[in-house]
Amino acid sequence: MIYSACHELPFTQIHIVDTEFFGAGGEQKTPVCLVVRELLSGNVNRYWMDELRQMNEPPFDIGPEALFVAYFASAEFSVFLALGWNLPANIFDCHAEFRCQTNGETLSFGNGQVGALQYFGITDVDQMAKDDMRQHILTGGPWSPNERLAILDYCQSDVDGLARLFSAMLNRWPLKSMDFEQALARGRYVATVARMEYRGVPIDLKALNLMRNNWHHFKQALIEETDQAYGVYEQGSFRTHLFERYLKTQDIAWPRLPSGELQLDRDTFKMMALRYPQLAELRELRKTLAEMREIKLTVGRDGRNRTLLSPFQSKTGRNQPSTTKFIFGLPAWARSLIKPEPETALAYLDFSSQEIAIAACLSNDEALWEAYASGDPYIQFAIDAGLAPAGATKESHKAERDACKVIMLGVQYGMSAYGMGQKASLHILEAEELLQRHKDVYRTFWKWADQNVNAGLAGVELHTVFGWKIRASNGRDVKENTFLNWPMQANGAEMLRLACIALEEAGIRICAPIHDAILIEAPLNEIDQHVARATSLMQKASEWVLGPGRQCRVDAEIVCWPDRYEDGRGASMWSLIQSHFGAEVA
Amino acid sequence: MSIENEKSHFDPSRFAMLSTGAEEFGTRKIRSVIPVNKPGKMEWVHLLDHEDFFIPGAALLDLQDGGRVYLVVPEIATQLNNDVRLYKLAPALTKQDKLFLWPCPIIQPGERPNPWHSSHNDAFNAAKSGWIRMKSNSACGFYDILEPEKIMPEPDWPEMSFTDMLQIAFNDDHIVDRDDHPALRRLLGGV
Repeated sequence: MIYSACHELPFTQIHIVDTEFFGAGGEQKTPVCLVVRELLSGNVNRYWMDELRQMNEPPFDIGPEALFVAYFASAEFSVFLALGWNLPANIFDCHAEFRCQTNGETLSFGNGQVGALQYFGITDVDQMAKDDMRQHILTGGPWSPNERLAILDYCQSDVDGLARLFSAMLNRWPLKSMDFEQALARGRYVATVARMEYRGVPIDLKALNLMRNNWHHFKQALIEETDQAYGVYEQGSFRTHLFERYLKTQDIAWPRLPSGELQLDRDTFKMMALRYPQLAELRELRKTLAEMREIKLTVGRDGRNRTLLSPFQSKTGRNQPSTTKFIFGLPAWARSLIKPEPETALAYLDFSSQEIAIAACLSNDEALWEAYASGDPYIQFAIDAGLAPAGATKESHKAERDACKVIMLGVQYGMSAYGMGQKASLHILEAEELLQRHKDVYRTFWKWADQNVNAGLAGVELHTVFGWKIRASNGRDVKENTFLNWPMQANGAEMLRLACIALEEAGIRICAPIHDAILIEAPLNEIDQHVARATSLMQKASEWVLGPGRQCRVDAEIVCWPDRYEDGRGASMWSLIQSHFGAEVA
Repeated sequence: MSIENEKSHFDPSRFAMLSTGAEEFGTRKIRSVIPVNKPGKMEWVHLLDHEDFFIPGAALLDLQDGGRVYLVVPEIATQLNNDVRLYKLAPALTKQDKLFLWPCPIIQPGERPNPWHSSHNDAFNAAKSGWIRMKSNSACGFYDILEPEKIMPEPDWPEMSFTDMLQIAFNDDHIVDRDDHPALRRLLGGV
């Protein structure tokens, strides 16, 4: 079956829905109005906030026979959740599907609803007027009767536009049954996103407010304290000539620009700090100063960090939340602001070496899978490559394992032998040799990866196991490494999406998805049970992507109230913060 | 709070596609350059050991001008005496997938023993069954032959005929098949 028109879809009702709402950053949303058009009958219904608040469920069918259609549906679901409603059984998010179908194209008008309409030549939408009205709604009222009418008309205009867009999308991109099921799975994830956004991450509000109120003063203190070991700041500013002097005393050869000046970008600092651990605190300080001129973390009055998770925004289909408003986008030390609520616990569960597992399974490289399945793919590569004897361990051959780890991870990103050498403290010839051994040992993987790159660069559409796509369009600047890495990243994103759906639908409370990990919360006395269940579901989700009988390992770390979350990479910075602010952030 | 312990209702496995979509997209490497030389001292090499890919006595002319060597047809070679030398010639691959033709000097009956040539022949023979590195040992006056302690995977041989390889390696202009070939005229001082 191929669906190319609305009436062909296997539903008795198709509801095109838009809502308006307001709410400050970090707060749950307050509904303003809702407009719904049933596409098959053409009926339109409009509801103002006071009517909505009296409803225990949506004023239309959200069961298995009906389809819910929206653009960026997580926004609509923030209203549903605020009203205490259940979320629909079948969701088609036109934003997710528009992103999926056009991923890799250059979109002149962006991927918002207006941009999508313009993509299809539907141009009778006034973006300026829309922005003005949206700002007016965000004021939170009160609104006169005429203003209410204007807001409802505005909301309905979006519904009308969306109905046209939905039809145009089906017409341009007819969906086979399997494609449609995959689209519904993405819709199901959007519902999960809404729940996660609604719930948020628990933050130590007291500590946050203390830091926020004293941030400027603290930054000065932080520079003074940290710089004692480096002597590279002068009147609060980083001085290159002082850093040159420091590097000389430490005998560190720092990468330079063609002009001869030191290369001081973030990636170079990250790489050099990995190579020279004595630079780690300086790097964290620079990162903190650069990214946190002020603390923009959006936290509600209930102490929960909430922000848009922006699903499907990246090429790989991953979420792309704000790096300043989302707690996991901030420097590592800031994660210590995460603190379970009283009598609850948090657990951070992550897929272990997810990319290697995906690479092994999708390429059908048995040697690479064996390496993953051994529990330590890096030492196994060292053994397979003849660098370490059979039976070698992480402890017995640490240097070899570390070098192999850099190679194994680097190849996924197309890192050059030079880059690998820099990162692993190897001579370029040693790195080249190791890279060659990787190619020898995992030949099936390399053949598959080359095929993906060649096909991707040739404009062939690549897809994940569950249908997220990418295609390089004409004239688009495409890079080899995009297509080398895309299958691992995009399938990794998919694995996490499926895991989030499975966990939420099993009643596990997810606070946030983080790249290849999930933060959940549960009552203190139930956390072990929840972690066990979540682990099992994440493993099952990995099997959906990797294929029958193959699962990713899942690691879990539990934080029980009254402890706070800790990230080892930010530990020294956090202890500075604690010594500055004292018992308040203990 | 209760969590569901039964299998989740969500099971997307029925609409999974264990592929990337690139599987049908095939590519083939076009070998436009095939050098004719002995292996470099840093190169791991493997010889293609097949009778259809082997010339037991190829006459090669090196004008010693830094350019490519010439393949001389037997009728002409017999006229050139010491200016050409006979080599065994076979294709080989490096670990970096460089295809080249490996000329290995034939030791003529009665020729004065030369450890460089005899060890070169040993390396050529060893490379028929596995990867080797041939490295000059000036102090001893012969080539050291290294083989890996661990078995390295067999190379992926290109799907080409030996005739095509020879054609690419020598083109028409590096095959000396007539008396007035420019290479001969250069050799004899005529060009």
